[in-house]
Amino acid sequence: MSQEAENVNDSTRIEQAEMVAYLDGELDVQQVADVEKRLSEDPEYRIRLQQLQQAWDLLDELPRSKGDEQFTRSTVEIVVVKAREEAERRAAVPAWRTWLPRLGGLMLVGGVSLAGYLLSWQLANRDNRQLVQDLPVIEKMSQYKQAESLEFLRMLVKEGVFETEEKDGL
Amino acid sequence: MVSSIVAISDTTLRKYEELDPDVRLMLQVRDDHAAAFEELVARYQVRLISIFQHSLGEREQAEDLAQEVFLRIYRARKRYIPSSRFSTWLFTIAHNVASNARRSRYRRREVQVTGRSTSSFSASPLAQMIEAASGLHPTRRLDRTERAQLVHLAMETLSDRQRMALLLSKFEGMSYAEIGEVMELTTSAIKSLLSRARGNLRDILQPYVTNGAMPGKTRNRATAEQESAPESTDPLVECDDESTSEVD
Repeated sequence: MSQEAENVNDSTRIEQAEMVAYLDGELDVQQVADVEKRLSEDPEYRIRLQQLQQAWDLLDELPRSKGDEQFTRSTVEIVVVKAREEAERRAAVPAWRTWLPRLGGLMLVGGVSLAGYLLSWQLANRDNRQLVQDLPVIEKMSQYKQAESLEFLRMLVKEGVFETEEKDGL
Repeated sequence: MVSSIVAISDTTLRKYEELDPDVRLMLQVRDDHAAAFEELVARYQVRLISIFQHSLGEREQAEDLAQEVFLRIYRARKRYIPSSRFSTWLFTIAHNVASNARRSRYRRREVQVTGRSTSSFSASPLAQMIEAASGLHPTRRLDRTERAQLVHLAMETLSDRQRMALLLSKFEGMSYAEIGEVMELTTSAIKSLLSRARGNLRDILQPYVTNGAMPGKTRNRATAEQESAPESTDPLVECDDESTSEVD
């Protein structure tokens, strides 16, 4: 659709909405005056408004239900009986069936929260735990660097050099 | 409206209590006055049934749904706090009940009609009535029953929301603001909805209004015009009004 056709379509819809709002008494004083001015000047506009009103009036042809005292009474009875039955059903449910699911839900939430906390704690402290595990090696790193080979270190361990240092608090 | 624990001033409560006699009745229902409930049912039952019947099409279902509305009201009576006119609250419940009923009906229909073609407008009851009547007596004026049937079928071509807005406006005399409250739409969306609804009705019923003839091709043309019109360019539209073609 061309831009021009779209604009015409839009203005027609806006105009129709104004007409319908006028018929429904939903316009303010100024808008009512504008519509009535247009009505007095534009016969085509007047016909369109009339057509909307005629279609609206035809809705009066729809059949309307009629009141019936007996029907009202039976509705009241049905509603009250149903409401009472519902209340009785609720009251008949043992107390544990009410609180057990709630308790289960609470435990589930608690368990999941605890598991989440432990997992995040584990993750957060993983690096620190590795450092603690490696601490003895880190502490002696300067000595290890002075050793020429692994064999030499093993020999020193066998001779108890490090044990003496530990006893001395080094 | 049965509000959740929303802060409603004493002034508002008193205003609705003083202005709306049905609010006073409902407050008595809250205090378990059986006669007050019976009075409310008597006042609203017929109106509810009419709305449901014209909205959904079946008298028996309309009666059941009206009972459902009263049951909901009765269940909620202890929590009732007046925050609008009683009728607005009642028709809000009715609108929800009707929407639920339509949803279950569509679900049932989906199961039943799988594989059956429903695309042709000429297969609709309105078209069948048009063909039957105009084929025999092209300019015959319809009698009252036929007119009612024609208007009913014309209503069926509207979308669910257009139909509900139209019924609340016509039969309940509600303002756009009140209809908006019931249907949870803005006032300008209701303005647009009603304008489209009444435009569609006019297009369908005009041939009958003009010369008493059954409407012929007008509906097809009107529908085609509306369906080809881009929804998004309508400055009035604030809701996604369903296309009229969605109704069988």
